[in-house]
Amino acid sequence: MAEIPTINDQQLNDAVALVQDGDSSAYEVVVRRFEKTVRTWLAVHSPPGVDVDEIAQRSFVAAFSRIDEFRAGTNFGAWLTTIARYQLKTETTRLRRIADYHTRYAPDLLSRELELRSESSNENESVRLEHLKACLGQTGEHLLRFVRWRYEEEIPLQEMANRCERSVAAVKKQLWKIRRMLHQCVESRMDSGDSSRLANGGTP
Amino acid sequence: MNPRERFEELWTAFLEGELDPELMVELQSLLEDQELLGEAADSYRMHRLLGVAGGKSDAADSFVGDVMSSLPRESGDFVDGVMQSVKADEPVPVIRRNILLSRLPILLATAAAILVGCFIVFQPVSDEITIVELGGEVTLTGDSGQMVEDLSAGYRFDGGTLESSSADAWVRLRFADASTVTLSGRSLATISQEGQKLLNLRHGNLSADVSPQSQDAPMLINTPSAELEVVGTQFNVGADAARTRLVVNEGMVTLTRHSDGRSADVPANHQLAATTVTADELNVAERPSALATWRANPGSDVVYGEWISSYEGFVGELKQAVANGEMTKEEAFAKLDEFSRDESSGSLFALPWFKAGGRKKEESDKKYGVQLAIVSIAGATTAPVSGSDDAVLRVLGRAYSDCEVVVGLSANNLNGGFAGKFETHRELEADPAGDRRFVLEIPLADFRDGSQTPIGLELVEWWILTTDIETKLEIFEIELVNPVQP
Repeated sequence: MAEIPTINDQQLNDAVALVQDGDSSAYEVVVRRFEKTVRTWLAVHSPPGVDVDEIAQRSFVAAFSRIDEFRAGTNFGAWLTTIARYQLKTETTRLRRIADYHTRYAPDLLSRELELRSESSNENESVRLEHLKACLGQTGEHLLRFVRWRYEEEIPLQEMANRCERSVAAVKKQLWKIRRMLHQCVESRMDSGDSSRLANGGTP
Repeated sequence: MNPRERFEELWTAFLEGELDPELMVELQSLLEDQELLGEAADSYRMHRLLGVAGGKSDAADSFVGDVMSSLPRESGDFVDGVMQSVKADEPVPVIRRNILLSRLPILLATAAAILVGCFIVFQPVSDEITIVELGGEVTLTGDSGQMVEDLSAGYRFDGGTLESSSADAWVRLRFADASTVTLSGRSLATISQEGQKLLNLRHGNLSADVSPQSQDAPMLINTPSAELEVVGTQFNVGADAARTRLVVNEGMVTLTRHSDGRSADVPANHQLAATTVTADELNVAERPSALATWRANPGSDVVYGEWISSYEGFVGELKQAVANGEMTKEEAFAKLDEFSRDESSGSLFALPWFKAGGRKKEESDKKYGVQLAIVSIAGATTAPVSGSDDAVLRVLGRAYSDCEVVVGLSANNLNGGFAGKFETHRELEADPAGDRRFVLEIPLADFRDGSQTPIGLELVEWWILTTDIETKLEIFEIELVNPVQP
């Protein structure tokens, strides 16, 4: 599948118009423009148990089915994120329904907290992701290796413990600290005024 | 280890998928601390963001390919496919050119016939019905008998039977002309389009916002007791075997009663309750102002559950006493004669209901049971019921064991249209010394659908369900009280 390096607003608007005229192949431009935005947004706002890519896919298909409802000149990213939000809500409701009370309760509290945050925030998680990458770039190798093991190589905790010659409990503690440190770093960057990027087209 | 350290330990184990169920209970109590819940959410979001950052670089291509291959096929795609097929199958060797030329009119006619045929075959595609939004348990049985349980927004179909089976279920449909219909609660409707929109609402609640229809082909909604003819309007309908409740918010709907063929036009801001009893007048009345309080009459307003009057209950107790040898039949009859035969007092017992999904992840195709009771609010009053900020829902009942319950409300907008399903969780710790009775007093503001509350909306249905099937639940009274009611 051909790579489309950067899709600007004009290209996006043209693609949406083509799709509205019945050219479904033009929808690929739309998907490429927003796949990262939608998947990142869903990853951050979805409770455990939700298949993020499945919901993202459903969101794009639902948006395609309703493309005639989109009004040219309005924010397509915001419109798409609203659809994704509803898709996520449908899925979390379904999961709540099928889950046993005792196995779902803690995730359910988290799910509701995430839902509240998603409704009260218009932040662009793609920007947050860029800040995270910058924060990781400033992180020392002795900590970065844990991130790499856990999130890139996805190795078990025991294997991580063996590699760094520490206990599993110590590895867990280290992961907790790294996540907290990175959270503070990202929030600090978000607060430091680099929010102009939020105005970028396609932000949720 | 202090609570914070313990939280960090348990939360990290949870994120790593290593938390045992018994420790989950401990974590749940820690997460009731808002500060810790906030930290958990921060940590979780960072965990997910790191997952995205560490994801494989070719994931985008794979995702885009998956989406593009999932897009619904349009009639145009099909015609293009046929055209390509026709072109590919068309042999044009030079040696047979004359033969081909001589047959060109036939070929063109054939191709045109195929195209026309395709157009006719696919004409219904343009009339497809799209599921716009949904929640709870909703199933569709298509015209071919195929049952679809994993419905999602964007799903399209030509016609069939839609059933929303759980108390918290709802589904919003959009027709090709932008008319929308929402089913909510335990509702069953068959939908077809044979030149006009036909809906057979066997029971339940339906809200519709109908674009102007042709006078010759209005939308028709059949209930067990009446037929509604709609040429373009916004209205809500509730129906059971004996009654049809119609509220028109915009435009006009004509209601015709099946039992005697009598009709009435219901204009905007008016309502009509039609029974099957021909002696009952079809009284079209202006929509009254909303009531701020309500008290259920579980005997007549039960949608799901078993109503047992005090008299029936007392008869049962006497039979048991006679069977146990605690009294003679004569003594039992004497007691019964003394008992007031008031059928309006009694209890609503929740009944078993089976939800989709097993208790374990690998049992997602199975069902498990809960106890459920549903009471209609809109069906019980002539005026809409709408609570203010201070309104409190009070429930008096009996739980035969300590349990958690989900209490819910279904609501419409006061000026028409389905508004949402709102619910809240409560622990029932019934007092054994008090005959295991409980009183729930729940502020209306505690009922939530996301961040929304039902304050200021028309309350349509109330429900309660347990989280397991073993808990027996009995409801005596349900009422909406409003301390600041003038």
